[in-house]
Amino acid sequence: MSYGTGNYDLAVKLLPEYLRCEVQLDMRLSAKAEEIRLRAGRKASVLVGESEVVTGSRCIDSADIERVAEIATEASVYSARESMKAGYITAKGGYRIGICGSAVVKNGEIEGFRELSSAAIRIPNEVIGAAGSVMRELTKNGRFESALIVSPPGAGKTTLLRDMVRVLSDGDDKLGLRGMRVALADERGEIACIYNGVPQRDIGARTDVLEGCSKAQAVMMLLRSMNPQLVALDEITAPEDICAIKSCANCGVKILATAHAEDMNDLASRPMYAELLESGFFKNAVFITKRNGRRIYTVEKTGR
Amino acid sequence: MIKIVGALLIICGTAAWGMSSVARMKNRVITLRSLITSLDIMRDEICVNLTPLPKVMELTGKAAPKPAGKFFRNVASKTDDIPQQGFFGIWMQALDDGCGMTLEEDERDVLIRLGSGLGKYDCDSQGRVIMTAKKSLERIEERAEKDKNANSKLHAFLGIAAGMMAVVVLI
Repeated sequence: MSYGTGNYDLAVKLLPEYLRCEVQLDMRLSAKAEEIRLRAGRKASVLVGESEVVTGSRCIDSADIERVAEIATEASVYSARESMKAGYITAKGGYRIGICGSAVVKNGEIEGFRELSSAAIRIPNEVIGAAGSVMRELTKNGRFESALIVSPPGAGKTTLLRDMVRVLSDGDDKLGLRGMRVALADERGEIACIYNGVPQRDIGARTDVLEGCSKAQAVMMLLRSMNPQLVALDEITAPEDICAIKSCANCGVKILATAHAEDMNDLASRPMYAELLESGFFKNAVFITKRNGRRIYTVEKTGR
Repeated sequence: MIKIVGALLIICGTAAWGMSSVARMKNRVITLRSLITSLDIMRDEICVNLTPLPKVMELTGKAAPKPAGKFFRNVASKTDDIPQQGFFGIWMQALDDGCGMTLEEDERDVLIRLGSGLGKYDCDSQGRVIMTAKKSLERIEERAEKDKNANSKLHAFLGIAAGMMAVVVLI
């Protein structure tokens, strides 16, 4: 049996043993796999590039998905309760598992899920050097300007963010860039993938990570406690995140963040992001597009 | 001479049976007390520190008195098998191993119910599951203690008396 190598292998280990044969892929496909999908009443499938390949031979049931949650939380669902309320679990190694089911609502708030119906295991990619060409464009005279990484979901924002954090933290002699104190607000724990306090991904020598709490809270705490030169955060999605970014800008701290959008027009058409563009906090936007399975990075000035 | 040796062997045998019965009663109480202490440690780790179960088992195993400590260390040593058997599977396996615990049907049932509830739900529910188990074990321990005080001397006496009776009948 072959599951390919590296991250896919480890993602498969999040399945109960009897389910592992349901997601068999050859080495070539497993290297490109982005997600393992389990849906109750359907066969298991794997997202490879743009298409979902059905790999299973039998239908998955809710108990199978609950076993995945059990393995991902090390049989400690209570310790992942807060993230489960938000619909995901972060497993050891930074694997994020999106979950769906019947929501249990109490006083208008989601308490958790019962009868789990779907699970999507995202396979993180660490591509050392992914930020090379982008960093050349974003660095002028050895200075880095705040940047917003923009793409639709699944295009590689987090991968690029991680590598940019690494370069900014370590510095780059070729670019004349000195290493900066980077503070990383890693709400879902999928950038640094901390295990036993040690980052499992290379995020640079001068990076301090705060994970497991909301980005807005983390940014404010990092600003107060770690004296950063740059704050990095993934997926700006809420008005509180924008407030936190404003605080960074007001403190003279550079910002590196990601957002969901197709292109500049799409970004500008969303009121929350339009405010960000207007404010001029981000001098540059990096757009990621996928063509023939390859990622293309385009840097654009944000206008101010 | 042979008769005397035979008689002594019979008396020693039945006395040993009586003493082992007394020892079992004593060990049962010790087991129950150590389990009750373990549950307090476990509840603090789960409800206060949100420690994942494998680590909870390891810490409880280190901190709890014997023989419950050995049981929790045994569970902790099997947590790599969670993907194969699930937590409840390894809990049951450790329970079957015994780990030096003296368990009767009642407390075994309590531990099975506890194992089936551990790791699931939120912290409040975990706290309730553990507290329910603790209260049940406390009730059983109270009964077992009374049982031990009331019957241990009787069992020891019965062991020796049964042996002497057998010797009288046989001679």
